[in-house]
Amino acid sequence: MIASVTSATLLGARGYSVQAEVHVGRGLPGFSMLGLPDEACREARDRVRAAVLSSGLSWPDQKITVNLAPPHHRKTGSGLDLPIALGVLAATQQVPVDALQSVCAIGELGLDGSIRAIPGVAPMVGVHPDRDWIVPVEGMREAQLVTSGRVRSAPSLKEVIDALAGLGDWLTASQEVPSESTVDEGPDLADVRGQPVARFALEVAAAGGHHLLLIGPPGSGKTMLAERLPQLLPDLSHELALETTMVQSAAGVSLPAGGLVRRPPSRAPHHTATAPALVGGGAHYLRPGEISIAHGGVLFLDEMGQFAPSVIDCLREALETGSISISRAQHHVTLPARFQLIGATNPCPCGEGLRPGVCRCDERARRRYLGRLSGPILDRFDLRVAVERPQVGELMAIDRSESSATVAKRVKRARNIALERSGRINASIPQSEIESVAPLSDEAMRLLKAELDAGHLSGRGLHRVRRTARTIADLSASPTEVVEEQHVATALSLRTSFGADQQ
Amino acid sequence: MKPVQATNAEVAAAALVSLPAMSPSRLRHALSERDPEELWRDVCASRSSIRELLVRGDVKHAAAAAREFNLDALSATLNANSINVLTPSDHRYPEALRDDVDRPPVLFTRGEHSLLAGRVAAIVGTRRATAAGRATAKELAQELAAAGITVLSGLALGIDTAAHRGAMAVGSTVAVVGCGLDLCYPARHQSIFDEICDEHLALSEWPPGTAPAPFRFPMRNRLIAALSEVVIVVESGLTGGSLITAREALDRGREVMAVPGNLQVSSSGGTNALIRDGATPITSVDEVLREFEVSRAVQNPPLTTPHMKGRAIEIAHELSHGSLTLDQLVQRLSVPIGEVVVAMGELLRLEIVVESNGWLELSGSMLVSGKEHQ
Repeated sequence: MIASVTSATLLGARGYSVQAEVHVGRGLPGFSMLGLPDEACREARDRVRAAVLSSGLSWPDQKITVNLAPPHHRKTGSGLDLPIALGVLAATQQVPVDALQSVCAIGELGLDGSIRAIPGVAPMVGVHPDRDWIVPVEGMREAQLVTSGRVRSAPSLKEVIDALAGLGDWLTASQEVPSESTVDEGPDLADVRGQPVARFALEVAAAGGHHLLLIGPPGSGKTMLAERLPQLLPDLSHELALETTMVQSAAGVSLPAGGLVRRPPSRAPHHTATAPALVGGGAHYLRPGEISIAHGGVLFLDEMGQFAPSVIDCLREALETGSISISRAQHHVTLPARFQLIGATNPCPCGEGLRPGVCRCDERARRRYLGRLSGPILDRFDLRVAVERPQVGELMAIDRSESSATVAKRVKRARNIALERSGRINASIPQSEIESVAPLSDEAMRLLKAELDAGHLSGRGLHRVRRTARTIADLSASPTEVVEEQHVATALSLRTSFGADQQ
Repeated sequence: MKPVQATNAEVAAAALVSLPAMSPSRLRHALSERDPEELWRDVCASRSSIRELLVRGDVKHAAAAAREFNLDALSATLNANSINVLTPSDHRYPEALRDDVDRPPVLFTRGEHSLLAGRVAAIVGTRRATAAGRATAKELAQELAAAGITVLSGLALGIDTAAHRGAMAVGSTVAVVGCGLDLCYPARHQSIFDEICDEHLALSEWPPGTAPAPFRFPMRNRLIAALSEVVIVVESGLTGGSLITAREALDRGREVMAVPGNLQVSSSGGTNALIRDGATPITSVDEVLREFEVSRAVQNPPLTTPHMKGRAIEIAHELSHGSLTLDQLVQRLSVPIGEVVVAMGELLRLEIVVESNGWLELSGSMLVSGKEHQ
């Protein structure tokens, strides 16, 4: 007998339709699986058999052949357990074949017949967005985001069989809708004492989507500041939220209770991260990397000078295009990666700081250290701010600083101004539009011209400063159409040049 | 640059110091008594009399190296780079070195020899200098050079370069380097090195082709001390090479002067320690000039601040206590960042304040002339 169940597998952040065909016929009892299953997938054989037997069903003493079509495509993960089990049961008339015609299934089986969660439910279900799906209980909410068909689930194989045969009920998603708050309980900006310029830079970064680099010695609060950026950002738009959810689901990041990722994600990979970990990759599965998981949110690279230079270089494509293409011998995927980069670094190997006359490092060592960041990557940071350890008095101060909520309100207002004006955040204003979006006052023009003449500013730098100045103008108490001198001066001062020649 | 045609004796002298087995101190004696050409022939012939010149007494080994030595190539390098070879018997050999216990057997020079005949002051200091330190070095050098005193330094980054530049602006300078004169170290000083070779004087005890190495710098510092009448240390860490220069100067009975510095800044640790140990503190240029018994040649234009307005004055005042980041400055002034940066932009353009790596400091031009802004 032959049975066929529709399912899906994952590559990058996308699902691919897979047809699990099962043939049960005469021959030596055995089980063979075709269609390039990977290791986890191949092991389905033993899990499926145990799960079927534990569920009180019978396992055929016949030759079982499973073909995962299309056969040239690598199948990964344990999500095909359930469709294979259903195929075997249908081929042996333990499940009505008709019941499987209209439904697709994914899920991992435990040896006791339970159905377990797998990563990537949303992108896989999205392959057939108009059909009914059987998914693990944990994946129901995210599945509902992407399919117009019915999403069905049951805690175990036995209950799935009963429900398919009309002997039991499906679990419906509406039975457990959690209430969801969109405010995350993260660290608050009120905890940061002093450091008005660094705080302001953070606000500008949040309002304009500018990349921010914090340079300072250990203990100067770089990490503390960077961790507080996500709370300043507004919720994701629905479209972006869906994209982010897809990637996060595919990467196996636990999703919020509602299934949809509404808050901008925040990722902070350690400096020992390899290039595949950061940009995505792996032999078959091409798991999304940290930069894709941070899609729509913040990527925080602490100790940026310690990352392997080749790893940092990988960021360039993503920073330019908002996506990353990964090519392997057999596959080519493009993953979304539009993130806001926050870098933090010590100024030099000794960490004592850039304060003149304090650093103990050799000139060359220091050059090399900041040199790792120099050039193209350093250029991508619109905001580069030196932070220094706060003084004792500031740490002991009793009056709290402004809270994240207050700053977030200003950020939201500035973002709305930018969106209404040009339909995009200021960091992504194209060069051709900058003149119309961010016109300069005469004094501002003079100031920029003086900087250009003095050789402090390159052509590319000029545009970056103008974008930042636009954001600063939008953040001011009474935003003006024209960017004033003060805004430009502030933008310039928030863009320190590091590693400059010291004669 | 004056064209140079090295004589056979000069080439032989240069070749002798180029041999790795040769002991400089023993060579010093030999060269003051004997003709270098004759000595070279002895080495090539592996005469046993040269045994006493060698660090390790393998005469045959030294002779083999000498026979393989390409005298023509050395001569070509010397001529191509206009490098002069000076032995103590040469009248151009600096007088200050003639009686020095540790004088180099052979001296290589490029440029104007007469510069060492006059009065010479060394200005040395750390490579990791503050803006104020560099400005101090530059102004001191400028004043000294204007008064006709040759300023000598080591062509390193930081203080040394500032001193050379200051002196070159109005007078003459001498660079003592720790590598062969056909090389420039650090490499990015090529342009200033070229200028010194063309119009001033560069000096080394190492033959052409010698790469810089850590042990050569203390030896270079000894030469700096020996060649100068007064050694001025502008900024130095507690373990800085400038302290070696100061010690060598004291050993030779030279005057050592030091610029006192901020206790908070490690690059002032060495100079402050020197002062504690008896070096003469420099609190104004006049004190240095008095040491040379000359009077001020150029009148410093008084620092006029027509452009400094209210906020700028406040900023300058805060910075007069030490360098700050913009962050710290904004916090101390407790005014919106926008106001601070506009005034700051003005100060930066007027070069009253300089910025390096996110830190703001007073450029220090006011400090030296004793008109610190209040």
